[in-house]
Amino acid sequence: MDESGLTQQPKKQKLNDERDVVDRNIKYLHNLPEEILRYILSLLPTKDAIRTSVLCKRWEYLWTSIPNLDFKGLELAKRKHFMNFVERVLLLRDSSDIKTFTLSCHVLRDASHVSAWISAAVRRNVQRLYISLCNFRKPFSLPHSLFTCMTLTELELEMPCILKLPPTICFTNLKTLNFGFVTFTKEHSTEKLFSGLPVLEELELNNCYWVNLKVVSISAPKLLSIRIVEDRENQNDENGCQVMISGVSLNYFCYVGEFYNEFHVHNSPSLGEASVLASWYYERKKQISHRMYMLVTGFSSVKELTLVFCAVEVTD
Amino acid sequence: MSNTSENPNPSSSSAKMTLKTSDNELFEVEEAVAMKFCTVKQYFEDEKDSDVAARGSTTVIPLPNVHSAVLTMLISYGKKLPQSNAVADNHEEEETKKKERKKYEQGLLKNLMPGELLDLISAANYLDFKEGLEFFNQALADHIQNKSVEYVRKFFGIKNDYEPHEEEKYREEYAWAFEGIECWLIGELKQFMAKTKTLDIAGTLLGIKPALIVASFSVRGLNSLDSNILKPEMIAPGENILAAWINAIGPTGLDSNT
Repeated sequence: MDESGLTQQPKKQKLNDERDVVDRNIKYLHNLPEEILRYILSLLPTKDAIRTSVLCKRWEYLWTSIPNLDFKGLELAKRKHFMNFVERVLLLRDSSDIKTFTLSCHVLRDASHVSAWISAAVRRNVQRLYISLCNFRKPFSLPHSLFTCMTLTELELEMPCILKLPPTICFTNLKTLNFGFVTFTKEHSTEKLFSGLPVLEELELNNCYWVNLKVVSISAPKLLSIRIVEDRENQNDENGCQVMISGVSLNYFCYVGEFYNEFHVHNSPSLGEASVLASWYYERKKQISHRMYMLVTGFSSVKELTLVFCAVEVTD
Repeated sequence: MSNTSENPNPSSSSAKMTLKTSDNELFEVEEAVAMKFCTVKQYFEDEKDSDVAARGSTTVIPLPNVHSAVLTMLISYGKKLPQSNAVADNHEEEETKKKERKKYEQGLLKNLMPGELLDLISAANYLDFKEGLEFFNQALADHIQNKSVEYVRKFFGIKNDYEPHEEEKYREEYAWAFEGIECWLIGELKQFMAKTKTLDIAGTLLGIKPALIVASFSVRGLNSLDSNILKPEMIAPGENILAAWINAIGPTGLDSNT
């Protein structure tokens, strides 16, 4: 169809005026090619993009290739609607790659659904995955395919439950890894996890528990920065676990917490900046100060050291 | 300290190209800016290959799909972008330029009519002006964010071809996405209702300073029935009041309205 008025050479002055009116009407939507509309949809938040399917039939499936999906449904009252929404969107979304997938919800008894959603994202070559789950009424396990996802570059997992690891773990492209409130156990190849991160650059462990583990070794050749937080009360293990950290490229170390576990940094000649913030309460004062001492005295090459603590008595 | 006011390549900056719009207006544009329009760039490079360059005359590049008003804005935006052949500025200068550009962008968007935005995107797409497309598409996305379906339809000039039950089905299925987004009409109605106020008698208040002033357009003088009463007999605060009515009688006084 000839989009008249825009490509023809103007013939007579009279016709121009008429064409102006036609131009103005045509200037609306149908002048914008589909790629532009899809691009605009990819700039909108997920909710807005999917609402466009109601605009008219032409827009019904225009949204199905949006590369970023953001599902944050923490309001329990609207949970049923939220779960239906996520199911439907993932069902209809086409097979093009997903760049960023964010999921934040209460799991309750829908462990299999949530696992399936994560699986769907992995199948579509997701690059950045941000998962925040809570409220588990049934045992929950992540899909095995997640742990062999070759396209994943950033993973953030906030899951206050036991992390069940599969036999094969291979994060070939993972650069940033962040675990929040996760429980690591001996039975589930924790060791394999922390030695199978060939290109990892940033690691953050936020209030993670180490259960039935005596020694854990975290070693990643490209690791640049590591941050560990342990400021929530931990009733699990009296003595905790010994976490040995080594990284040839490691140049930043940060610890904030109450030393429920022991941490040692070794074999890290590039470590230039370290910051240790220890908080304590009376019962564990000795243990905390001892662990902090062990950690700090192990820094051999640190140029910039920041130490913050309430009170430490150094004993022989 | 580098002197950024001087152009290190005076000869290249003065190279200009002529662009002709759909309404036959001619625009002389610096080459550096015009080259951001990849369609123009392609045309120019094609021309160079042919014998036209040998003729030596400046070619006029026709843009039959772009109106002069739109091109003016695109050129103006293109000028504000960091030039690819400019000398690399130090960090400070870069920051100042960034801030200036942000301010310019905000000003540009504020004065833009929604329809103009669509024109700009359409033209930027035709000209293959990547930075312009990115910027105006983002502006459009920001504009339609959180708006009701009816608003977006109006904005894009979309005619709803769903049957009511089909549309209803979608709204139900995607109920979560529709939370908090009101039907346009309801939004308008709510705004109207917000402007309706109820008055109660609170009693006589003394000692309010400054004393309230009766609006100049209110009637003054004596009550026609009893000259001991001065107008206005009953007053209430407010200026652009359309009508006032007591709840016992509806606004039109008809029985059907109570």
